[in-house]
Amino acid sequence: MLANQGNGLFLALVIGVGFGWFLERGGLGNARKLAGQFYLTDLTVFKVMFSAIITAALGLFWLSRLGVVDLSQVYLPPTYILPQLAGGVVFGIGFVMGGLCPGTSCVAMASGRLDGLALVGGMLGGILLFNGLFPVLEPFYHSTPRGDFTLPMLLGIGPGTAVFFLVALGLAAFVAAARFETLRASRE
Amino acid sequence: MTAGIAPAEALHSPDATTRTRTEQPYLSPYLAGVGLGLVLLAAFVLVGRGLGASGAFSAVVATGVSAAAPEHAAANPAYTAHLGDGTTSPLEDWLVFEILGVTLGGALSAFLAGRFRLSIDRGPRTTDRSRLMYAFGGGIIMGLGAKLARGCTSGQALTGGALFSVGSWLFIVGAFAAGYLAAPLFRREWT
Amino acid sequence: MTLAPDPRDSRLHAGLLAIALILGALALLVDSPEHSEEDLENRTSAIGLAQWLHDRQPGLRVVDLRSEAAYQEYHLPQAKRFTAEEFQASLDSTGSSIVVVYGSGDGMARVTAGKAHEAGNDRVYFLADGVGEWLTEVLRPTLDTSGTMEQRAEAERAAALSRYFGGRPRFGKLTDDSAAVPLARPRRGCGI
Repeated sequence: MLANQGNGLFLALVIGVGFGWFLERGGLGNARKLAGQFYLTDLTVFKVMFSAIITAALGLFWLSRLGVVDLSQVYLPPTYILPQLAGGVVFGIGFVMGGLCPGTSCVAMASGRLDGLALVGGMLGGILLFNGLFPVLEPFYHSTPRGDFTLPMLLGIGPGTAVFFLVALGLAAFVAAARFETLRASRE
Repeated sequence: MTAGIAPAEALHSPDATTRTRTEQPYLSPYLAGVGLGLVLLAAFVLVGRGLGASGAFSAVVATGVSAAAPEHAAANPAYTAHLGDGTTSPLEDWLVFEILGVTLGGALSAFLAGRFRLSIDRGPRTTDRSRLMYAFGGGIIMGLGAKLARGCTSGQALTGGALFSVGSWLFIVGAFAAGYLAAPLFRREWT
Repeated sequence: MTLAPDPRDSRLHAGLLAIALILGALALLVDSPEHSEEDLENRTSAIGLAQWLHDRQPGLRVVDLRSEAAYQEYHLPQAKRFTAEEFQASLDSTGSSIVVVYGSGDGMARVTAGKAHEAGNDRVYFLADGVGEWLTEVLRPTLDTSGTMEQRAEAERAAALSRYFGGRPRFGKLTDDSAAVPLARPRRGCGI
């Protein structure tokens, strides 16, 4: 594992380039495409996101199993039940309103989209607002901590089982999405 | 070919004739997703962490506020988290460099695919001005949500999702549910 | 705009689908309840425990598995002393949400937590290095403030927690000959 200085920062840049590349290639730099998810006219967001989650989860499970990766050295975001659920809800509202998320807004901006620039400005403002309100929000922000808490831990299953169900559900959802799209196309 | 189009129209017309190269089609979303997943996996393996985005924005805000109002920043734990003892800039951070990379990668891909143009993506029934206001407003709301949830779609949904973190999956469910429920409010903007 | 899908794409999709199904099914098969990853999932850091204590995590129980003499000499905040057997018995009756067990770092805490998990109590965590971990991570930590933003934020948090419990954090760059103990898990979150 590389340090967070020097080499680490250069690697961050390189990994970021890969991240931005695939986001743009998938069309996620286009706010209309992203928003289309919530009007069921364009399911790209869902397909990209879950393909990515499945790929990374499968890869991580097997690399860990084969001893290539030490999972205890991979940072797991801690769980705070209420703030993360509430934050998700708030974020979702902003997402359908703005049409881009923090990562994709940079991609949009990088492709010349002025709405991406506006969104970036808004986000900086929103963070500023949150920080200003932090003394008031702090109790809620730190509420319901669960530390390292994963779905396998919650459900009492092993990581391999969890990966299997993720893959199975994901693929089933992709099939359903394809059927839905065919249905919608035949109606037009 | 651009002679007859007013500048305002050229900004948002979907079949813009102001292309620099022939526009290439998007990659299949599944392939793009797998590519993304492999990048995320590389981050796990090489750096021991996943991807993110909102944290970089947070670092930028901290840098700005500590420059403009250092006493306020030093007194607010939301900022001291970024500033530490003040000897290193908050911008010297993995996520900040990563998001610079995201911008570069996005620019490169867009340019090579002929999708690089000064424009505004919006639905047919709304105006550019309206779209920009909604983008700004949506950004503010997402900034609040991302801080509360300790991340956004990149850090929580993608990274935390792949790691099966319960809080991250709660974020995913909350975000998608709220998005669908709030969608009718913004129909005019997109459809 | 519905373009006909590129036939090369379809083959690629089919291939990826097949790989995902095979790897996923194999993952299910190789999974075993005794896999060592579960051990790590039961583990908590001293800083994590300190945070729970600080946040007054409802129902939190801290359990000391050492001898009476060791317990009297020093024990963690809110810790109650049990033998391993007494602890197992106590689990069925209480409805506490999180339990942290610790010993002297000899592995007994891990075994006890593991047994509790097998018995169905999922909220039992252990401190891998026992009392020593509390001392070096919470009461007398040496915190590196020269790292990245996230590392510094973590150092700040750890220092505040340390002082809350009457500890005395030391700051400085970690050098080879310092007695510093690295923070339990390097914090590299997306947002703070």
